[in-house]
This record gives sequence, C-alpha cells and structure tokens, in this order.
Amino acid sequence: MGVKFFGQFLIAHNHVLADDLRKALQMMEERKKSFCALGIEAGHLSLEQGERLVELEKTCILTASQIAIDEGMLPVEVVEDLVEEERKSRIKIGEALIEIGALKDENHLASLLESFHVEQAEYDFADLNLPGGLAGHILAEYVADFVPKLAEKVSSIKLKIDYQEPVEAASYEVVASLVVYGESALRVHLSSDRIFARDLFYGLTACLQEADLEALQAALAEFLNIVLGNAIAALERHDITAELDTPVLGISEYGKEMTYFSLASTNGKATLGLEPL
Amino acid sequence: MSENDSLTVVLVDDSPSVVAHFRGLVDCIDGVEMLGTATDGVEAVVLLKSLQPDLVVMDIVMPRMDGLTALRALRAEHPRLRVAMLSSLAGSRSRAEQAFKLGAVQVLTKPFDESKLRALFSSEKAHKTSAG
Repeated sequence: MGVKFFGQFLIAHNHVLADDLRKALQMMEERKKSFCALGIEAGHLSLEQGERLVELEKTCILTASQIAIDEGMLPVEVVEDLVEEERKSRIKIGEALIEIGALKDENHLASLLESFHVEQAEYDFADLNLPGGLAGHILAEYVADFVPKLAEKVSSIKLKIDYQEPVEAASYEVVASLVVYGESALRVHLSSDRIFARDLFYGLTACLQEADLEALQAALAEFLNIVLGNAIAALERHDITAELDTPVLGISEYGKEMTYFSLASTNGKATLGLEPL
Repeated sequence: MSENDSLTVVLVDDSPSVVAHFRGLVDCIDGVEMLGTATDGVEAVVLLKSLQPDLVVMDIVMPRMDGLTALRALRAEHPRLRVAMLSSLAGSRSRAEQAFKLGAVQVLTKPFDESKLRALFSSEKAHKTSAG
C-alpha cells in the first residue's frame, strides 16, 4: 500500500537486504560529483568561486548551476556541459545494487523494475484539470487523485469528488488541515460529519470503539497525513521537493483562496478544501 | 513462548489513531510486546534512556523533533538499536534513503496493515535470534 521508491520495494519483497541498500546508497554518494567540484576540476571555476557557489546554494532555492548563470560566473554552454557531466556521474540505485552483487544482472533489474512499476501504477500521475487557481497545481492534483484511492484502502470508504464543481465551505463538525511547504505549497482541509469521520477512524485504528470529537479529528488529520505524505513522495518523481507540516485540528474554514469540493460518499458527508500557498 | 523470546517494541508517533492501530495489531501478534510509546523524537530520546526495546518503530513527521533527527540521536546514543521508520513520507526517496543511511532497518509506508507489521516483526525476531 502507498507510494514506494524502488529500493524500498526491493527490501519489502526480500529481493535485497537493508545492508545491501545502504552499501549501494553509499556507493552512489561516493561516485556522485557536484556541479561545483566538476567546475573546479575542469578549470571553469576557481576554488573561491566554487566555495562561494556552495555557500549561495545553501541560502536560496536555486541550484548551483542556476546561480552560476545568474551571477555571471559561467556562460550558459559551459553550465549545460557541467550539468550533463554531473548527471552522468550519478549512478542509479539498480546499477549500484548490481555492482555490489545484490542483484544478478541487467535482466534481473529490468524484471524487478517492471514489477515495481506494475505495483506503483495506481499512483502514477492523473491529470484531473482542477478549476481556477488549482489548475496545473501538481500537488493538488495528486491529492485529489489520492483521496478516494486511499480512503478505500484505509477504511473501505468509497467516495467520489466532483472536481469541476466547487462548493461553499460546509460547516461540518469534524475538521483537520495540513500544510505542505516547498515548490508546490498547498493547504489541504478536510471537514466531515461524525459518520464519515467515525468510519475513517474505524479503518485507521482497526477498532470499533466509540471515539470522541478529538479522536475523530485526529483520525481525519492522520488520513490527510497519509494522503499528503504519499503525494509528496509521488511529487519527487517530478524532481519537486516539499515538506509536510504537522496537522492543525478544529479550524473549520479558511479564506477565499481555499476551493472546496464535496465528497460524495455512502459513509456520511465531507468536503475537501485545497488552497495553493 | 517465554518472555525472553518476545520481541519488545517501542512506538514513536504523534497520531493517536496510529498508536491505537499499532497497539491493536501488536496485541494480536504472538511473541511481540509493546514496551511503551512516545509522541515525538524528544520523548523517544528520553524514553530510550530507561527502556531497552529490541525494536523502535518511528514516524518521520512529528512535532518538536522529527523522526530522522531522532533516529540520528538514538543511533548515536545506542549504536546497536534497531529502528524501523513507519511514515506516510516513507515512499519519498530522499527521506527513505536518508533513513537507511542513518541505520534504519526498514522503512515502511503508511497506510500500514497487519501483514506489513508481521513481516517486520518476523525479520526482527530472526535477527534477535541470530544475534543471540
């Protein structure tokens, strides 16, 4: 269940050991050459320029290659060559695992990659054409795509979201929200009645005991955490990084920038709110 | 099975529903005993000063001290401690790789179910037996 990366898949299915993966990751790390190191090695950057680039990279969201162009340190053609060299210096996890003998050969790797892609197919990107300010927001699209899939996995709740028809904010009793920071920042808000939250709670805890409002809100929050964590993991496949905050409980409504969608379900009523930040 | 053969586990997670689910599943699995729980990395570091579990299962995103920071701290203080990460973010390559580099024995993605935990406990029991 959930989004996995290839190494994790290999361990989960006993194809490699955690120690093998660790060795492979270490090998990848050792082989990898940074943009700055390559620039210095090729004589395009002085040691001082390289160190300055490393420092600048730490303090802003731009990569060293982008900074090198912006600061006029290197011409674009040289930067492109160095970026290509940097890419070539990176070996993939599968290649590293073959090299250390944890996987047999290319054929073995190819068959495992195929199984991995089959298992992960349901988490491939779905283009949902969200309306208004959410159009083209890749994380929002993942979230909207994952909410029904994960609700069914977690609690067997079948639901549909009408993405094309936003609704007014509904003042349901149980509410939780969660913020994702980074390149694809987003606030996600889930609000439901007690029936929906209770069934989610039953699924998440595998327990049929009564839950008070706080426990129900915590269940909604944990569900959002699962959806967003998996969405962030999927986002990394597009080389977009994001950070997950801890959940906020009980804030029933946000500002006008939040778009709400009704969740049609046989297990109570709920709305999903999405706000690009 | 004698008490010494049990796999002792500490769970570190800020979500009450995860703690309830985990505890419920552990109760159903023979030979595994919950020693305690902590709700964030800071609590975990304190708790592990007095408890010596065979396995710590820990979330990544938590208030005060996140799971990866706590993993680093715990492994520095208890180098032989076995820690498995259990997080919705575990499918994130960067986090999972970091966790493995810091010494995690397994990285599991939420949502989790009984089969995942059984597999984890089974491999950790085998490790405990082989380590004597």
